[in-house]
Amino acid sequence: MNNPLQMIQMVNQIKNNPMSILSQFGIPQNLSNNPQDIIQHLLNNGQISQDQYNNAIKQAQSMGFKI
Amino acid sequence: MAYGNIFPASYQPLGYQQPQQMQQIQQPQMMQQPQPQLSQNNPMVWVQGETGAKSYLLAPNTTLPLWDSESQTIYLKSTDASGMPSMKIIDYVIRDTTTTQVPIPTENNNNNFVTHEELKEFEKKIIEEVKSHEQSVADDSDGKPNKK
Repeated sequence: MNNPLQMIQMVNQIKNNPMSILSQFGIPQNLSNNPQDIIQHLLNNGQISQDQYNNAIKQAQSMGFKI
Repeated sequence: MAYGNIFPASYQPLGYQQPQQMQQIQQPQMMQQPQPQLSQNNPMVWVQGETGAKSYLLAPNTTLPLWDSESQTIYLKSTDASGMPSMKIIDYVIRDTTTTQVPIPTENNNNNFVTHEELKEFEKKIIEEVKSHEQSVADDSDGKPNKK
């Protein structure tokens, strides 16, 4: 996203309605209560790869999060 | 009005560049090639216990070994095309190399074996001993004193 105006509009939209970020990524609103479900949805639809997920988990573990 | 050369002295029109110069141009491009991520080469994923393995998410049609950081267990987690997970639990034992090593025969160990010559000499000694023993028994029975 190169247009600053577009970015400001998006930030304002998320501020006003945080759930709108889900629709930006095509995530059904009914999954919004469970982060695990959201990640599984992204994995199932190929929006994130298994490697990306593994890397994210490793990064979280290195920061002290227990997985 | 005379115009000087506006190009630097090192300038050479494209097409007349020396092979060395081309190499210098190409080198930075080669260095910019993306390096493969470490995690792809080393896919060791650690989880905390069986609950950690169960909650680890997988994309459909994926198999991933998950290593337990709390015990000597590997969880082989797989998903089918619909994303349904299944898990095989493998308990492993670390082999103690000091107790299971089989001794390999070396040149020094060859000294423990008897050669044919040594065996024949030993055989001769035994026969002589037996003969001398028989002789002494025969002498005793004749009432003569023992030679030995």
